[in-house]
Amino acid sequence: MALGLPVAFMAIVYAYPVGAMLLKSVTEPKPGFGNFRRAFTDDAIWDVLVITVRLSAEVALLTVVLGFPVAYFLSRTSKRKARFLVLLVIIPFWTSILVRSFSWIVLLGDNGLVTSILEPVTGDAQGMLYSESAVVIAMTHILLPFPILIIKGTLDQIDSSLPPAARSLGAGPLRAFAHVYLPLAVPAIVSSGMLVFVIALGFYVTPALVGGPKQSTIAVVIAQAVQVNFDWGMAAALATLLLVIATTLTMIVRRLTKVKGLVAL
Amino acid sequence: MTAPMTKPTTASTTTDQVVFDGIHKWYGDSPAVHDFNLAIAKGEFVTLLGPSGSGKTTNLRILAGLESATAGEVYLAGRAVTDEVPEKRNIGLVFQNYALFPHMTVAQNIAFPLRMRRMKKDDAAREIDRVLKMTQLTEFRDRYPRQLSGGQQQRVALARAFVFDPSVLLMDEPLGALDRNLRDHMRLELKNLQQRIGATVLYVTHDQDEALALSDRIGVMHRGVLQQTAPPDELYEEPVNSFVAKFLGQSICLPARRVDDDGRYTVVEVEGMAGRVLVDKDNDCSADPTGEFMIRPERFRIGSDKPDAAERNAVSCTVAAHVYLGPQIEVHLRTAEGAELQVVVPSARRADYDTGSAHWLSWAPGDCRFLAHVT
Amino acid sequence: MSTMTAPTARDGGETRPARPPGRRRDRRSPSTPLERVLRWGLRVVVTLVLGYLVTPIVIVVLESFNSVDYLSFPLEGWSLTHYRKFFADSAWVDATLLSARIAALAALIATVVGTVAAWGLARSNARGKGFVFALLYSPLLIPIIVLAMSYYFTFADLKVIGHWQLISVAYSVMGIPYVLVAVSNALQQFDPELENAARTLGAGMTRTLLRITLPSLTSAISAGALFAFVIAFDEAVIILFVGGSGSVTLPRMLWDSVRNDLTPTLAVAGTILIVVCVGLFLLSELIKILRERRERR
Repeated sequence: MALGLPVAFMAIVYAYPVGAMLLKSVTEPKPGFGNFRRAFTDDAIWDVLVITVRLSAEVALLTVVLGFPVAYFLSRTSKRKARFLVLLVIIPFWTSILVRSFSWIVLLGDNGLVTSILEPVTGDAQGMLYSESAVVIAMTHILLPFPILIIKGTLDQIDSSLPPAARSLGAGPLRAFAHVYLPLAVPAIVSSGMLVFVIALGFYVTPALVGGPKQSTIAVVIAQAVQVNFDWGMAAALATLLLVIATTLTMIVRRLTKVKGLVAL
Repeated sequence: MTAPMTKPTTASTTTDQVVFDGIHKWYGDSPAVHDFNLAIAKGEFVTLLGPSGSGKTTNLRILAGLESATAGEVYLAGRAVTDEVPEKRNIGLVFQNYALFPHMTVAQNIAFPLRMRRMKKDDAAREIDRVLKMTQLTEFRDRYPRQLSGGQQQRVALARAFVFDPSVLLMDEPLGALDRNLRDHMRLELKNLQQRIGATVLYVTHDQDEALALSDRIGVMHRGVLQQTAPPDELYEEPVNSFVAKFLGQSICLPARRVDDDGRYTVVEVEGMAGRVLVDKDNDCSADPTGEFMIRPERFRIGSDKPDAAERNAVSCTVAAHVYLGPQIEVHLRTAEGAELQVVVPSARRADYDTGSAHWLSWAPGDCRFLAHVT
Repeated sequence: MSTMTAPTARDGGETRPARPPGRRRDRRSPSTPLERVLRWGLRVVVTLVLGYLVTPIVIVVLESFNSVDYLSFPLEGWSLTHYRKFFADSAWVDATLLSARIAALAALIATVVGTVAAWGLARSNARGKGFVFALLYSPLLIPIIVLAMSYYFTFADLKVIGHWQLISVAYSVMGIPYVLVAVSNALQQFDPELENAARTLGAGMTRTLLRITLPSLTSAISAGALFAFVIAFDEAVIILFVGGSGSVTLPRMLWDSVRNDLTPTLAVAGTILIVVCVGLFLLSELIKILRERRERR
């Protein structure tokens, strides 16, 4: 009874629009699988898919590689210190993606901070804006809090007497880490990496602002399809494709490991 | 009183398996351990007993290499190991929560120290089988720790800690996480196992029953200071200060003052008792003239008539209450001057101890002690 | 033979023992040189990564105080010029107010629906529970561009593009998972016997809900509401499609000017977004801490 209201609400304002969109992929402009056939035979679309997957994979890898040491440090430092340092992770997390992308435009632009720092090294006064590196740097920045917080959550659960136990049993610091700590952290590392990958697949704002035409991701192409080409059918088909991929991967992640507390970040 | 025998000399460091020499540990500005000295012989089972925060676990962790002593040295089999990392010390440590590796099976957990020592596969397998058999874990070898009961986990932790033949086994409240029945059972198993493998053990607990049942010697710790080290019976019979007397077993401790010393007896005045009390000279352990009079409840003799002078010490009192304990009753008495005393007597004569009835308590000078006051 | 090891024992520790003489070790535990190098290296890496996380935020805030009309770093000088410009420009102010209005309505809807759903899920044994939870939770897992397409098509079909109340409704869908999870977690801590106790003491169903259940959920509900507000306040994808010319929110203004002209006024808008969102987050943390304190007492 108490569930009737929320279910009805979600059916009307959520399930209906999404369903209608899915339907449009096979009815617009005329019934059939024409949109999908067009998408899969278009080399440009294939390129976009390859770029999207490559970008997402790079970002997922980087966030995990950069995030693990931070998560490790946060889970082992004193509670008070951790509480403060976690704020440094959460504040960016709560800052609008748009604002952060804008900031990277400033930082990576022709007179930007990063550019001027790198100039003596690269001998290049030109910014790296509108390049794949720019998109990767900005997206990694935006998604980095996810692995940090998820991995930290898992590391916090690891019994703190395990590393000293391993040491007392004859393992050096590296072997204690590799044999005891790392295996227990791997599920969180893998699942947070997959999560970042899935979110990155559907990223729109950052590639559109920080990247150039060569960094068009599937989301950018979907937006162009409706805004520039008024091709609703193609937009719906690509969105459907993205939804299917994202849902499948999410299901796999949830099957592999229970990613809990994502929302309670 | 004798000079501390635990102060190691060059000779003792070669015969003793473990030596703590003047260990101090400070955390920032607060002292956790103060001048700790202890030597443990090969095959000896020594327990550090004390309330939580008394510094006993800190000493154990210093020996294991998990903490650094602020000052002092630790010797293992005659070798100074104070600055050595844990993995080089060859010490078997059983953690309070067992610290079993959750992603490894029982057999893998036990194999871990052998793998770290790069033992050959066949030799390791033989060792593991032997240890599994000893701890009756053979049928559980492929289970994961979470699939085991508390007692089984405890046995795995133990097996893992001694499979590599460590020079000493350290145990930090190893039975603390178990329920009462299992604890009594494991206590027995632990002692058997220790004797079979002839291990040198340093055991830490706050449970006096455990300490009394298991140990060759017990060291009582309090506020970072080792109060007394002695075999269990001696510790019970001859505590050196009021803290040890009260921490181990039941005791009556009353403020007292030394007023005379006749060569054979120390004469003390006890608060709440009329007249003077004689204490055997051997039982006078206080350097100060003020200290505490101490006696165990079972040492009193109780009677309705005034005892003859041969008893030396006697006091008259009335019954305040009694508690029926089955085979015995605990009688609470009060002297006219207000001291409260307890006596344990067989319950057969329950009717004699009605509230308000008058009795005489008597005891020999050898049954009571005059102790330094330590709270 | 018994041994009394420490003459200081008589003081019972009331006078603190003196510091030990001789060689002192300040290291916490024995460690290998490699371990110390790695520990030091870890510190460096963590500092760098945290710097990487924080720098862009700091830059936006700093740029908003720049005294010149173009973005530069280091700053040419400090001034509040761009704040004055921002608040004098009715387009920016209107956009900010619209964002606040849309977010407030979205948060309200999300909070009501999410709370009712959480309560219903906690108290029902219906078979479809898992499905209902998945339905309410799934907006969190759907790529935003997919949601944006869905709402764009529906809004366009119904010819309601730019209708701010309907935009709120769409945004509330994105806030519901947050409210749902926050309130569900709180309900798990809440002892249902308390409700039964209130009923046996003579409180009716409604009074029990209002007097017993809701008060113990207030901090969870407010945390959920704050999340829902923040999500709606800085949403920047869906608005590009369903906002039309009628509903220009702050993120939408920001998007347009990032594409057209990069000025420090932008940084002011960005700073406002940061302050509102981070401020609300800190507020929810504060509520949580205060509640923990009260419960401990």
